Amino acid sequence: MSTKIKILISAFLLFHLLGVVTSPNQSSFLTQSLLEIYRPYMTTLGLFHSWGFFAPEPVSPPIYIDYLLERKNGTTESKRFPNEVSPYFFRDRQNRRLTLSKFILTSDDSVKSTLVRYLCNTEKDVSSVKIWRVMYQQPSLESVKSGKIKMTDSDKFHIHPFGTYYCPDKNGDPI
Amino acid sequence: MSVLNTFWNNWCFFWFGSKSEDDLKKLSIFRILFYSVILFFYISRQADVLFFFSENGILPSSYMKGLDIFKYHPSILPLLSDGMIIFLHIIFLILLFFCIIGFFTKSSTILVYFLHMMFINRNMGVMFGVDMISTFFLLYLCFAQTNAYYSIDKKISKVRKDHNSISHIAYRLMQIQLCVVYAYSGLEKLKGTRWWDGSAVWDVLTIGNMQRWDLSFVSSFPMLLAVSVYIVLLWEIYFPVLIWISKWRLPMLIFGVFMHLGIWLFMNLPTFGFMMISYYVLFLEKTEIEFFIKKINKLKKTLAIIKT
Repeated sequence: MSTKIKILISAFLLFHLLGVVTSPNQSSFLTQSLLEIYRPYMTTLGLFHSWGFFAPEPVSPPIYIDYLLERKNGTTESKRFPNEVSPYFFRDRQNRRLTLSKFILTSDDSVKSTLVRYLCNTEKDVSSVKIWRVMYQQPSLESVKSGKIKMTDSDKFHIHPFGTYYCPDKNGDPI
Repeated sequence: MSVLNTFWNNWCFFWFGSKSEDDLKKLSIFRILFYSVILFFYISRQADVLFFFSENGILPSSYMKGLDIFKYHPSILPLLSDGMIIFLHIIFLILLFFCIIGFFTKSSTILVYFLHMMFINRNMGVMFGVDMISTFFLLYLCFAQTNAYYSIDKKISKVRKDHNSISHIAYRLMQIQLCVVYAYSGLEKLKGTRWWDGSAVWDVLTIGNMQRWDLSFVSSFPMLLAVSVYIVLLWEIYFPVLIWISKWRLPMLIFGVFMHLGIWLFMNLPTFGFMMISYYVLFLEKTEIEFFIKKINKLKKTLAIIKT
């Protein structure tokens, strides 16, 4: 390989490696100043990610979504997404759903456009959906050591009401 | 000037000069292990394809397009019918199988990367560690020569056995990528108070959805938990340096194997650990590769004897 080609490839490698090394640290001044150049390049290739596995804090309790379906005939049905005990043979199916539940709960608009829309379309005769955010608090080492609870128990769980959403009728208007 | 010269010579040796035929064997073994793990992982997604990726699923494309995180994430899936999306995912799985057996390897690896991106870009809300890390390796493998050994391609046609420069660069980029992942993973942890005070492993073990067994007894050994936190931190942060030093390379890899097996056993993350372990093949020496091949052949013979 000629020196000219080596220099050309090296220049590209330096460009690429700078992107690989800086893009995970997305809050740094360096990454921010290079963002205009690197974001389209790295994102299009699928390489724009940060690598903080269980970091900076390892506490990442699962978040579930409790929802109450109110049907047109007045009956109600409550469910949880995803199920607490994984019903799947492949554990990854449950893990994806837990990732999804966090994504869904990022904003009111997100809840409306994803889960509520999906439930309104797939569940029969639903008029409205009430949503709660459910988060378990992990047990502390002290409380497990004292024998009060087991490691697999949660200390307590927090339930926050998220909102009530109305399904649109056939014309697209809320019922 | 001599410093620059030395740097340039070392740079050229690392990227262009250090290629050898042994790397081809490594890349071929890596191809089989990596794509096997990925195939297993994405088979599990097949049942959820419509829920995750179709227009009537959880994420409509009209909403997706308005989100900043989906900028520069093109996907053809919003243009396809439900049946086509299912069909495309099945094609994706078949191509992954082709990559494992080394059948039309080059075209298969490129198509796998392309389809992988189409599915990832369609719904990033269901993406996690394995999807993210595998993207890098799926891309680099498009440029690597991975069919020189243990492939159908080799059986049905003549596969070149001289390691080309582009393939060698891809091989080096994969090695560096693993170092970047571990370095960031370790350094990010240093920002967290729970990693500093040594209680992070406890926190990780008690994450509700990840527990496989009740390990309450470990609460009696807080010292052990704290020591394991610091060992993991040291290992991750120093991996990118020590992996290139010959006397440290093997201990670092062996520790990594046990750590990832531990994550698999105690944290119920099946695919992640095996995928990370598969990357270690890229750091093995010729003798170590041969050692493993001998062991596998021995195991095969034993199994054949048992069968007969």
